[in-house]
Amino acid sequence: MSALLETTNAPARVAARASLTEVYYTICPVLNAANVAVELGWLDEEFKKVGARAIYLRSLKDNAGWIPHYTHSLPNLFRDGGSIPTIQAKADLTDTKLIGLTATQSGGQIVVRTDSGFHRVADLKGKRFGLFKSLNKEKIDFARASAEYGIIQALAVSGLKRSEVEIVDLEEADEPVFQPASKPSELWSQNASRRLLGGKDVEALKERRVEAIYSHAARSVSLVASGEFKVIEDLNRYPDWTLRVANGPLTAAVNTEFAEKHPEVVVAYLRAAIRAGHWINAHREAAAEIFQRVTFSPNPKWIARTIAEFDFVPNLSAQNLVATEIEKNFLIDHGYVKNDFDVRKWADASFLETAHKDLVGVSRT
Amino acid sequence: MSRKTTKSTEVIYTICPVLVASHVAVAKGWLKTELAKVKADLKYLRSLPQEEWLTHFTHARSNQFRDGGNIPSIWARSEGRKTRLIGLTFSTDGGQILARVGSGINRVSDLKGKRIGLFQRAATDRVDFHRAVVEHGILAALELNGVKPREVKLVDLRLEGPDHPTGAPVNSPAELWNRPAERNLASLYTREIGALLAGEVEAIYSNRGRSLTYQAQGNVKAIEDLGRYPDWTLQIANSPFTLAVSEELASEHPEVVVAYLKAAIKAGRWIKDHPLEAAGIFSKVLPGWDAGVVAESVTRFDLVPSLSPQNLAGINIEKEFLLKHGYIKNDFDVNDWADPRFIEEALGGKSRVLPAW
Repeated sequence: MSALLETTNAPARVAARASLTEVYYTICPVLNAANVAVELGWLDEEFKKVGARAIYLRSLKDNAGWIPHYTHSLPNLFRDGGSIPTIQAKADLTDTKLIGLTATQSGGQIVVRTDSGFHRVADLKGKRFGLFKSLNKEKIDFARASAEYGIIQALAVSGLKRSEVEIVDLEEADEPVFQPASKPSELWSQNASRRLLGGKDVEALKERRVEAIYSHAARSVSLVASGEFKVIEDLNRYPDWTLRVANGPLTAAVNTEFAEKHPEVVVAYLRAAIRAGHWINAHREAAAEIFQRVTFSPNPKWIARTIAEFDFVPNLSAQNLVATEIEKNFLIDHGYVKNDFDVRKWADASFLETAHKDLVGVSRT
Repeated sequence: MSRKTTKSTEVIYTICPVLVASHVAVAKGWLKTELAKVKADLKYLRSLPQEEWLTHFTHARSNQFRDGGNIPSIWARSEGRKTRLIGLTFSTDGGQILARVGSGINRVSDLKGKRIGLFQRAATDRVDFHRAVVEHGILAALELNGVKPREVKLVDLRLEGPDHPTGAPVNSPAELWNRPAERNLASLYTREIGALLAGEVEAIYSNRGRSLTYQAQGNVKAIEDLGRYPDWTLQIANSPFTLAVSEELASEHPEVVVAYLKAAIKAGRWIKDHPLEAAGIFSKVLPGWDAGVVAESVTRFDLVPSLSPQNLAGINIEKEFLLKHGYIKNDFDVNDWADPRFIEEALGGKSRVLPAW
């Protein structure tokens, strides 16, 4: 790619600061390479090589970056993280390219009260499942979509139909809880309790208004530690990988127009992510310490166990694309997304290919 | 400082053959060292003459630490023994159901109309803790597979002879559990595996450590494993293990209780960083356990004792089971039994609630 070669040449790199390409990025508090690339300084390093400057979306004043984090509504934005908002943005809001996928999500769990006497989802026939419902109409209700997918899968593997349980909506205003910050680790560290125990669904479970809720594994740890709750289903324990399509595989996407104008910046972003991915794969305990700063996880040891088997180098593998398609179809079928689109056409592997070529022979640290 | 600086306090300890940090604290010499710092003299219960050994189960001594299976501890407390619960360790999973290879029985639901062995000891000098563990595990396995207890035949497997260690005094748990009789499991569990192999019953319960050893012989197989269910309440099986101390010792010498916990906490943390060495120590005190299960368990479980809400909830569930099924007669409040002051002090907690000594 000629643009890349030009801008990586030293003279071009020291071109006037005025010509710096300003780029926004935003990353969910999830287990992906981009989070580590930012923390290790590699995103800045790779962007510098191509005359670009990374601005954290959530550093914008008055939380102006909050809604665009979900809607992808800036013209020069990299969004890396949960697939549900990315899919909705592509389908209904903004033209983007899918440039990388990472399958590090987990399937989720079903949680009940310890004193309930329920041991399996099959015991929940005729009972009430609490389901989070956002009252915020400006963004997709990704938390509800994740939970709904998980509940449907848990019922299915237990031989129950959706009509055999009652779904109780648990409404929440869903407003921003963090003040703007200069980078993800600074943003997420603001809330000391890290929302690990909270949620309208946990309240409802505690108050016996529902018998079961969906929970991601990281949150379940503290629920179980309280002694009041127990996990009776874990979708990760089944061999079927399609049960683990839970706001993932995590998606890296960028605006189409920007990508066509600045392919070198897209490649630089992926170089940073690929380097970080290789580093995580080789240094999982050290990576766990970094993930502790950018995710809502119980502790680094738990993260290290969770990530032991994952591949953190972003890819556009056939399996991850099919998984993304399953998520997209679920979102359409359940009314979260209006317009259908072709996931294969959305994915553009050319940037990943170039990034990998650039890194041949480059030390992985 | 205590007034009793000139006289040393004699302290007796006893530990079940289970995964608790106390074993490592003993093996590494840390328990003795910590207690010596507070002028306490440590003795293993089974270094005393054999007629004293029953207090391993009854906790009848006034100067005793007991770490291990929660059923005897709960039973002793319910019988009115004055003890304080000072630590808990949740380091088991619920256990397995075994059938014979070639029996055609592949799932618990295949056991309808069949015989399942239920251990029973003849002597009545203490709680039949093993029967309670087995009954708890079998009932859970039946429920999970939609089988009602009346759809199977629970057959008492009565053991007439001694079902606990006997013989000459020994100096440590490792010495006790490495005597040939104990290593061969002559004491307690041979009744059940013997009955299964002889065709007296079609299924038995076993904990995972022994189950894998049995299966390695090739003639039995696990058809259910409570450990494969995410529900942690299904893993309650004589665990969470209880570390309890006589109330008299705790009130007269709180410094000794804190010293014990310091050694146990140090051991628990050391195990995390030295899993291979720890597995070696545990293999000497877990007779009949598969080496792979021991190695896996020391990395999987947190062996630092705690009085966490989850562990306390686990003890309450066990207590309720024992009451409901007649293993204990008298109810009591688990939260009143638990005394977190000592472990908070041992962990260097800010709330220094114990008197300064």
